[in-house]
Amino acid sequence: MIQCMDLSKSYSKKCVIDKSNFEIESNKISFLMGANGTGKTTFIKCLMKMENYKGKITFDCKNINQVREKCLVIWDDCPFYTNLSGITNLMLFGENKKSKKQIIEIATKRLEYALLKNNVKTYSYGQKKKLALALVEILQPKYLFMDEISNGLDFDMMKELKDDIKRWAETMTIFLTGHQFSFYNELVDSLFAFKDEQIVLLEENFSSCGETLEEIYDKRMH
Amino acid sequence: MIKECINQELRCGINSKIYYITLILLSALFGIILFMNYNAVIDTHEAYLKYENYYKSNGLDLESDLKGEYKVEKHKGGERIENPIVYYKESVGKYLYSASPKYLVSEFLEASTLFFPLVFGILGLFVSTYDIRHKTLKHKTVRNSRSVLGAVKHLTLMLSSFAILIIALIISFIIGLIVYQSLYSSVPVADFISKTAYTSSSSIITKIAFGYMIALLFSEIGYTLGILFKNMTVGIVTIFLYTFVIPDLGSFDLRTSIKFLAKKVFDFYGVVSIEAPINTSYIKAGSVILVAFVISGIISMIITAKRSSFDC
Repeated sequence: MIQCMDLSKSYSKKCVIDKSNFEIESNKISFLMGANGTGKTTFIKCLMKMENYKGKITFDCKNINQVREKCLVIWDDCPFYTNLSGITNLMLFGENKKSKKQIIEIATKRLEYALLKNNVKTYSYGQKKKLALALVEILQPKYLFMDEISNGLDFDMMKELKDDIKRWAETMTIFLTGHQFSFYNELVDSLFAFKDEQIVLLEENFSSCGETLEEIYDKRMH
Repeated sequence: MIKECINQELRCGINSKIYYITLILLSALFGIILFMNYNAVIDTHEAYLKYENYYKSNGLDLESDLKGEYKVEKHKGGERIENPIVYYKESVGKYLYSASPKYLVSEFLEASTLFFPLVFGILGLFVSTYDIRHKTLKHKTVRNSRSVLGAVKHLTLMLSSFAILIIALIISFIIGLIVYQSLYSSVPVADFISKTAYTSSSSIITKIAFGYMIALLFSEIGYTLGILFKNMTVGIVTIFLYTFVIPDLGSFDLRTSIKFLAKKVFDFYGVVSIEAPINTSYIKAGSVILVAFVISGIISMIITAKRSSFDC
């Protein structure tokens, strides 16, 4: 369980997150909704202590530095070494968790081998996303954060990814942010949202609330 | 996890080819020293032969002059050499000694004051800007804290600088042996092996340690410039200007301190020479180098700790 206590974050005088208290449950899929620029990515940065913040965040009662090796963030822009091949990137970021053969096996489920041998600079946005998703299978983190993961993915890949996320949730605590609500509707267990600069839990059991993310967004966020 | 992070950084340096580029660049610069030394032997030998022919064609007593001493008088227009046949014979012997296996490594290390700031500065710059350029810092700082990643980058820089220096010395030494053997076909080496005993100011270990210190210092400075400017080109231009363009700024200038210590550690028998530094002392020179190293390290650590992984 990830606990956020009195979490506040501001840039200069602009408050982005204001004294928020909530818990992200283990082995569940949590989703944070909010308009552009509300601070969804900033929240992930705070979770990873990549930004200074006020308050306290714990991961199963431990601080971030005790669990870093169990965390993985798939950023929206999927940073990789663009002058190196996809396979080399996965070998580098895979931290020796898997052999080269295993990495190729995992990666070829999402991308063709010929493409994996090419430099990442030749990849499309969606192909970079697929490469980043292969990293999830390689590192198998305990805490997985995905920032706008559905952006740039083709229809087939989105279908596959939904199944993957459900499967990963059996062993991982997954936190998602995004805007393509239709993609997330079937996935979300707990729904969080930004309300007056505070992150609040809107639905603890979203699937049983009978509403879609679009409806909730329209009704409660406006 | 730290072990894995070190492994990752080292593999990053290998895959990005920066270690190979630095190694090739350093070996090429050592190669220039070899080439210059080879030419110095050939040129001075030709000058010697010219005088020998002059003696023979004019029926002069070569042997008696060769037993004498030479004298070089420097004046405004240049220099005047008294008994040049001895001067050139000794010069051939001196350059042959510099090209010989006994002195090769020392001569490469003498060039540390000239080449290492740029070569290892580039290495440091590359290591610090590579993740900034590819925005991969925000991936790496999820799995490791910024301070751990910064410390690991420093450590790998230390390891890689040492490895690159040693490998470049070994490669250049092997090439140097071949060059030295090739001199036998152009110059009657045995005739010129000097009776002068070339003394050494310090042991080879001290010379290697000094060379490594300069490599480490400038890789650290390069690293800090990379963190500061987030741009490799600006960093390279800065190091280039400081090393080759801006004149010495006095006894507290890092270059003065390095030159002062280099003059004490090396003998400069071969083609490498550095101008006499402004007068300073061991304590002052050592302190300046230490302070430069510490300040550079502190600046990079502070920026690393304060700056966001997204501030690329």
